[in-house]
Amino acid sequence: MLEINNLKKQYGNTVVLNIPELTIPDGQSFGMVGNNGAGKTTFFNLILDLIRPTEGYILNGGIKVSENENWKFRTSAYLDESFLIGYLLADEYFYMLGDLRGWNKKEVDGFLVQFSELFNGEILGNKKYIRDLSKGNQKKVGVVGALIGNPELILLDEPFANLDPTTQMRLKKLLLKIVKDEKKTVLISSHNLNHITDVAERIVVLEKGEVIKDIHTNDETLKELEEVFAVIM
Amino acid sequence: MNKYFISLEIKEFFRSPRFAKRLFVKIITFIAYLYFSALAIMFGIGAYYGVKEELPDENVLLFGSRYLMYFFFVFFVLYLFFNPSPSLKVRSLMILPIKKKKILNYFLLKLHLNYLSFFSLLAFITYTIVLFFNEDSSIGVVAWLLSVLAVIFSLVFIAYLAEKSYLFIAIVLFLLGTIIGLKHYGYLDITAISGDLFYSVYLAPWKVIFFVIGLCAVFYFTYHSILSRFYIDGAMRLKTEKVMDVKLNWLDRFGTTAVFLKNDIRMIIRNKRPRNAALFSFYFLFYGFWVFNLSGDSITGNVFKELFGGMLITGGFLFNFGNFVPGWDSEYYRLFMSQNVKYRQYLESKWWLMSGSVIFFLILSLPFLYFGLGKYLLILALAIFNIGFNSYLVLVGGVFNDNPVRLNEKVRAFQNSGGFNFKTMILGILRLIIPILIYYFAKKYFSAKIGLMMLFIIGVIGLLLKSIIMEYIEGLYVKRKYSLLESFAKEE
Repeated sequence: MLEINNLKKQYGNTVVLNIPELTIPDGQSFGMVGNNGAGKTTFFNLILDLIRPTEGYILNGGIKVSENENWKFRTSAYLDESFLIGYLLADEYFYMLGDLRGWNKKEVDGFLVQFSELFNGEILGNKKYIRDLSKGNQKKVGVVGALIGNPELILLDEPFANLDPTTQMRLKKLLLKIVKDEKKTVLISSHNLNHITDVAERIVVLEKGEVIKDIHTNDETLKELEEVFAVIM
Repeated sequence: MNKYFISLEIKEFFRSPRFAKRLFVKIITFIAYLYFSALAIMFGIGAYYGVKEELPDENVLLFGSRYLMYFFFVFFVLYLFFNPSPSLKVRSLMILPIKKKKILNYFLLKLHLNYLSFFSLLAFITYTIVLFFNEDSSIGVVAWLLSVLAVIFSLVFIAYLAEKSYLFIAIVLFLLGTIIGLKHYGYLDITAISGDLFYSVYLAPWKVIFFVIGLCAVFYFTYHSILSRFYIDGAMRLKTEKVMDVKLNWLDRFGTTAVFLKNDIRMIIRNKRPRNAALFSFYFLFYGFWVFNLSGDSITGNVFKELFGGMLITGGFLFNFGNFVPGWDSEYYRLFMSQNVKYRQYLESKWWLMSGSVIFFLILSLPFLYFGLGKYLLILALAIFNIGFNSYLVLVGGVFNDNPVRLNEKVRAFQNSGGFNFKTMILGILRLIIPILIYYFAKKYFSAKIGLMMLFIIGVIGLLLKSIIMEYIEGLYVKRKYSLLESFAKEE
C-alpha cells in the first residue's frame, strides 16, 4: 500500500506538487495523466526518495520513504534513461539488477524468456552497448529491467512513448498480465489516454500539481478524460 | 555567418548550467592560461638566450632547428591524447540552412583553436622575434618561422585524420623511441636531418614554398576527405564501439560488493574518460625514476620529493579515479539510489577497487628494489598509508564533489577541473601535508625509518578501523544524497 500524506513540493514560491491525501492499495493498477509540468515526474521522484518533500510524507508498505530505505526491497522503477547504464550490454544490465535483487543468472534467464516477443531478437545476445541501442529498444530494456526480482510496486514513467505500434500493443498485454494475474501494484504515467484507460483500473488526473480527477476506469472513462483535457487551459 | 558561430560559442560558455558555480574554476583556469602563456613566452626567450650563453659556439638557429623534430613529436602525441574533436557540436549545425563548405571551414578552423597550438605558436613567435632583433633581421628568419608554423598546422590536420586511435599513438611513440635509439647508438642522427631541413629554409628563404605547398596539400586532402563524408553516418558519425568483454565471474566471491566492482571495471574499460584516467595511472609508476635519488641506496634527499613520489607510485589510480567518485556514476545515479542496496556496499566497492589498485601497483613497482631495499620499503609504507588513510580521504572528498562526469567524452586539456572546488582542494592539500608533516618531524627528531614506521602504522590503524570510518563516510554520503542527485541531473 502506498499512502500519501499531506505531500507538498515547492521550489521557491512555486508549488509543483500538492497532494493532501492519496492511497493506492496493494494490487491496484494506477494510472496518472496530466500535461507537461503537471507534476507526474516530481511525484515519482518523491516516491523513490530521489527528492525531498517540502512538507508531508509518503508511506510505502508502511515505511516512511525519507527515513528508512527498506521500501527499496519491494519497489522498482524505470523513469528515464538515467536508470540505464549505457556501457553495459542489455544482458549484463539484467544480470546486475538480478544480482541486486537476489536473483541468480539462471533465474534471470528464465524470467526473460517470456519477453522474447517484445524484444524481437534485438536486445539479448546482441553485442551492442545499451547507449548504442535505439531509443525504443532502450525503453524496452529499462521497462523489463524494472520487472526483474519480483517487486511488489512498479513505477513506470511514460512506458509507451518512443515505442513502435506493435511494441506498444505487446507492452500493454504484458502490463495487463502483471496487473491481472500477478496482482502487482503498478503506477504508470502516460500521455496516451487510450493505453492508460486499457491498463489502469484507476486513473488520476494531475494539473498544476494537484489531483483534479480520480476515476475508477469504466467504459465512459476515455470520453471523460478527453473532456477533462479539452477544457484544461 | 561567422557571427552566428561565434555567438553560439559565447552562449555555450555563459549558459553552461554550472557557470556561476564554476566561476571560481573558470578564474583559476584563466590564471592557468596566463601562466602557461607566460611560460611559452619565456620558453621562446629562453631558447634564444639560453643557447647563446651556455653554448656560445653554437649557431642558435641551427641548434633550434635540430631539436624541432622532438618538439613536433611531443606536440603530435599530446594533441592526439588531449584534444577532443569538435564533431559533436557540428552535428547540430548540419541540419540548419548553412552551406556545408561554410560549416566545414569553421570546423577546420576550430581544430586549430586549441591551447596546445596556441602556446606553441606563442613560443615560436616569441623566439623568432627575439632572434629577429638580436641576431639577424633577415627574411630568412621569417621564412623559418613560416615553415615551422606550416608543420604545426599540418600536424593538427593529420592528427584529426588519424582519428585518435590508440594504435596510431602507439606507432608514433614507437617511431619516436626508434629514432631516439638510432641516435643514441649513432646510426642515424635525426637532429642533424631536422637541423639541415629547417636551417636550409633560413639560408634559402624561397624554400619555405615547399612547406606551404605541403600544408596546402594536407589541408586540401583533409578538406575533401571530410567533405565527401560530411554526413552523420560518415565523418561526423558517432561511433558505435566494439564490445569489450572480460570475464569477471571471479569477483562474485565479494557478494553484493562484487556487483558494483564488476560494474566499475566495465565502466573503466568501456568508457573514454575512466579508461584514460586508469591508463594515466601507469605514468605515475615512472615517477619513481624521477623522484628517487638514484645514486644513494639509503633514503636520502628531499622529503617532499620522496613522499610525493612514493605516494604517487602506488596511488596514481587511487587519486586519478578516486577524485571523481561518485561522479563516475552520475549518469545513472538515480538508478543506484532506487535499488535495494545500501550506500555502504557502493562505497565499499569503490574502496576495494582503489585498494586493489594500490596493491597492483605495489607489485608492479617491485623493480624499484633494484635501487635498494630502502626505496622499496618507502613505497611499501606509503602504499599501506594510501590504503589505510588516503583512500578514506579521497572518498570524503568525493562527497563534496558534485560535478557529473560524462563518461564517454575525452578530457580536454586544461579543462580537467571536474573535481575541483574548495573543499576538495583543501582535502587534497591535507592529503599531501599530513604525511609530509609526520615524516618531516619524525625524520628531524628521530630518523627517517621511524617516520616511515609511523606512516605505516597509521595505515594499519586505518585498516583496522575500516568499518567505523566507512560508517562515518556513509553518513556523509547519505546526508548529501539529494544534492548529489540534483547536480548529477544537470547536463554539463
